[in-house]
Amino acid sequence: MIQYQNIRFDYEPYPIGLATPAFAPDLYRAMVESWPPLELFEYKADKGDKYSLSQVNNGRKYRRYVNSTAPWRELHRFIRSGAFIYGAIEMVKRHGVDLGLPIPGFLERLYLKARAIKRGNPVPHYPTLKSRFEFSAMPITGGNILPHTDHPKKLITMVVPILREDEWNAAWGGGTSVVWPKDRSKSFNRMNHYLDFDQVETRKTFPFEPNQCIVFIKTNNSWHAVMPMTGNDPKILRKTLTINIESS
Amino acid sequence: MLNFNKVDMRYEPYPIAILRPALDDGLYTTLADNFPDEKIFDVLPKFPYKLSLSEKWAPRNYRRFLRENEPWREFHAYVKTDRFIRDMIEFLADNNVDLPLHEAFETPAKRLKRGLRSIKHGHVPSRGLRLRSRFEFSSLKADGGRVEPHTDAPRKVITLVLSMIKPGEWDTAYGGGLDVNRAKDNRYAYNWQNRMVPWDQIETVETVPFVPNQCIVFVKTHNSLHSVREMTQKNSKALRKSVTVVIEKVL
Repeated sequence: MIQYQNIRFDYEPYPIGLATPAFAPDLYRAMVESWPPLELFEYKADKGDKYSLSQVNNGRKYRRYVNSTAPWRELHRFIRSGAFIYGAIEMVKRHGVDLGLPIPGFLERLYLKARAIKRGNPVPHYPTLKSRFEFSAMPITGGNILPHTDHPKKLITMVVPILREDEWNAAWGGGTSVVWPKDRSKSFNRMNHYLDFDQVETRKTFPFEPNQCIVFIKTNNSWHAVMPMTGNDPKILRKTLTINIESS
Repeated sequence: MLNFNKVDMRYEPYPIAILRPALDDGLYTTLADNFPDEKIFDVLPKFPYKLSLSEKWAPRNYRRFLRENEPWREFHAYVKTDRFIRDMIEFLADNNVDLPLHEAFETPAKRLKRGLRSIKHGHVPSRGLRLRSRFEFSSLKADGGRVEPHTDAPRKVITLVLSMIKPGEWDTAYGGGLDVNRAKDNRYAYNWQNRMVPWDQIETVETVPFVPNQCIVFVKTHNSLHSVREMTQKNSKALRKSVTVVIEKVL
């Protein structure tokens, strides 16, 4: 469902790719048209005025909405599948980012664990890979995401802007920025500490445009942010679908 | 035993700490004076310019040497303790290199709780993260010695290279400094799996000279590309002597 054939990666200071178009036009249009109503979202004042609808934030409403809306139900099923996870891992590998996965299959893992128990050895740990997605939205009147590098359990994050062709004014901002700490001693950040906007410099910004997918690889230094937006109509929202692949 | 007070940190392209002096002068002199004789090392078949004495290479000589040599026995015992591993992790965290390794030091109660949670979710409980330290005496010949550009194996977490030469024993003109590199070719920019990178595909950001009583501390990252350029002291008997300590995950 996600089209990677046109993806282009940058590698410095960390790998980040841009796939466009990310979805077949009909599917993308259906996603835009069936975006969940804002009243289902949970408001997160501490996260840059973000509204979130996910397994964690308003989980029941999230599940009910996803299950009852055709394009999201199908996309959700796909995102949760092993085919999506391993497809994404293979895709990044083809672009020079070998994460050292996949992990042995279920039966092989079971066998290796049973063998360790039989031999009295410590039971080996194989991380389980999981994927999920989140609907999120931020008002253009100051909505932002502070500079961070993503949680250590995350492996790959994909951000899909959800908007119509003529909906966005680039002057509002809203692009995803690759940023870098002015204080170089903060560049290593495997634990995902946050910085303020004035503590970073912007290396590159991916403008907020329809039908694209930004693919991040979590690294020690995968610093990124969304700078505070500068629009003046609080009803206009920067809507995104965020897909995460993470390990247990 | 390691002196964490005199540290020079680098953060780009990846974190490196340089401890100098790394050890108390008296201890360093004793250890350098007692560095094992090259005759008891193994010469690595693939790399005839490298000599190693470790649990893997010349293991009987290694064990006998540690048994018979008190200063090294004590230093080795220190490096093998959990305290040493914790101190290294804390030292790095104090210098803005915070690693997600806390699980390795969880209490038995926490481990039990984690195990029970796994069972509840239908998983075989894992033992969790385990760390250990490995220790190796190594020497590179000034005549042809080198270390190919690499980023270290994925299981490695922290590597320490402690120079072990007496004053005047090594001339920096021989080379032997550690090159901090960056890949020129994007195919090698992300290199978690430690693929060997051809010499012509790297650019050197900085060379840390090989001097006495210095310990270089690396953190394994996707781009921790480093090497030692070939030394070309033809017919020289000089050796670039060091001790390598690796803190790694037990798989």
